[in-house]
Amino acid sequence: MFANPNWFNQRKYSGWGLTPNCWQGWLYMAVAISPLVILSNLSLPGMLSPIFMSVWAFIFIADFIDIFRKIKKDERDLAHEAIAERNAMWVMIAALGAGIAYQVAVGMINKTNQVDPVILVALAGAVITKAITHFFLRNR
Amino acid sequence: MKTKIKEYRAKNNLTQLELADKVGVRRETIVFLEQGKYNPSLKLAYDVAKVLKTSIDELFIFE
Repeated sequence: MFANPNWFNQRKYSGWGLTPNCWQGWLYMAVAISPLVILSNLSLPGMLSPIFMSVWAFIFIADFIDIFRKIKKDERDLAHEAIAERNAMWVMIAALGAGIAYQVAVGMINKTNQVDPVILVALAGAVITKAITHFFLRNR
Repeated sequence: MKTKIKEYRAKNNLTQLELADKVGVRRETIVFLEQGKYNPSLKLAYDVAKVLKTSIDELFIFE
């Protein structure tokens, strides 16, 4: 859309997202973020500010997704990414599982049912996503 | 795994970057291929062999 994918590297060692690798990338990030910072500190009449911020954020999120899609990755990069994402996912599942166990234990002590539904939704979403992925990949 | 990629690349007067561009991977991947540290997909092995005008059998020696 707007940005050149060569202006960015996909983050490997500091989470997820994009890191600019040249001044054009940094300029793009500044253009994308500065209106949000400025508008959040201005008091525009009515819903003007939230509407503009939402539209602006939507446009740049769409462009970020487009950049992600176009960043060149060879088969070795993809294999490494898949392993890293799988390991990250296992840590997240372990943390969510520990969270549920803790909440169940606290609930039993207090005789209440306090399991956070967000954790259950996250785990159920992961299970469904895994199943759908296998479903689409089964003949490839 | 051992490879003769470096030898064939020299025969064909190609740099690692040129070979990488021709087969659509990053130069780093060619470096690891030449060192025998990366097992390529069949497609990449075929592409490399084709660019270096040889066969997969000749290029890759599995031990």
